[in-house]
Amino acid sequence: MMHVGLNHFLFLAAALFSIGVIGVLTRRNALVIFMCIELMINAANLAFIAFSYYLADITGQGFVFMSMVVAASEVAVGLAIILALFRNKESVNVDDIRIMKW
Amino acid sequence: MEAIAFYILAVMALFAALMVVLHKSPAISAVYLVLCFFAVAGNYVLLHAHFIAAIQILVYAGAIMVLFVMVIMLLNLDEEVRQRRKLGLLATLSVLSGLGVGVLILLMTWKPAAQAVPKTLDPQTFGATETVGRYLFTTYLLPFEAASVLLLAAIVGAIALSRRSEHKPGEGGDR
Repeated sequence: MMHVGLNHFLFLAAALFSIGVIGVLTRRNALVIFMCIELMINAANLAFIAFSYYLADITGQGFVFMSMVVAASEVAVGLAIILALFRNKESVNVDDIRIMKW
Repeated sequence: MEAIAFYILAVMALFAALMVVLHKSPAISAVYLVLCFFAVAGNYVLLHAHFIAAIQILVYAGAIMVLFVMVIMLLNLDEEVRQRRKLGLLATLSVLSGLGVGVLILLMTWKPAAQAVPKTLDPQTFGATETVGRYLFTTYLLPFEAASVLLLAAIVGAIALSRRSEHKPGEGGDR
């Protein structure tokens, strides 16, 4: 059986990140865009953990811990913003929210 | 054995991620995102990061996704209507994804990375809670405490943002 190396995990992380980017660029629902951002954060975390294992250094896991704290607070505030937006605009379609567009 | 587990988890994660992007209903997307998080947590276990895998399931698949599902329920959304994209955006996207695939193939066939093997590590203690905890509470104590302040700020921010806007400032008491 093939040996699983660092590049396999990096490949998976890059693929997950690309899928997240495509989701952010193509979807118009603010909630789904948010989920795709979570997907991208997860891909970055996976790369951190993979490097942490292959370099035998625990620092990467500490970084992922901090990244999860940031992601959790980001989701809490972001979803509150989306809720406030929906209350004012009756829509979560990002094309309808263009008041800041020049 | 490890390779089989990795490929199963990788295919699961990629399929779930694709379904998050492609599915029309946000609620179904959220469920697929949970599946994706579980698959990534499985990969963490393969990489001897047991503590992080547990945190991934608790925080991501648990707390964050519950928040998402609650908001989807509150908003009561119907399915997104697809409108035709402009060709320019589509072309840009195709070129970008083509470039991405090229970089990935380069990465896959890159010899030094292909031969990277883990350095000597103790599989019993490497990703264990004790190791990570000792690390967080000694070397990185200051960022750890800063994280708690960040979480407090996020709580206050979320409550302040989700208050009813017609609420008068002097009244108080309802939250």
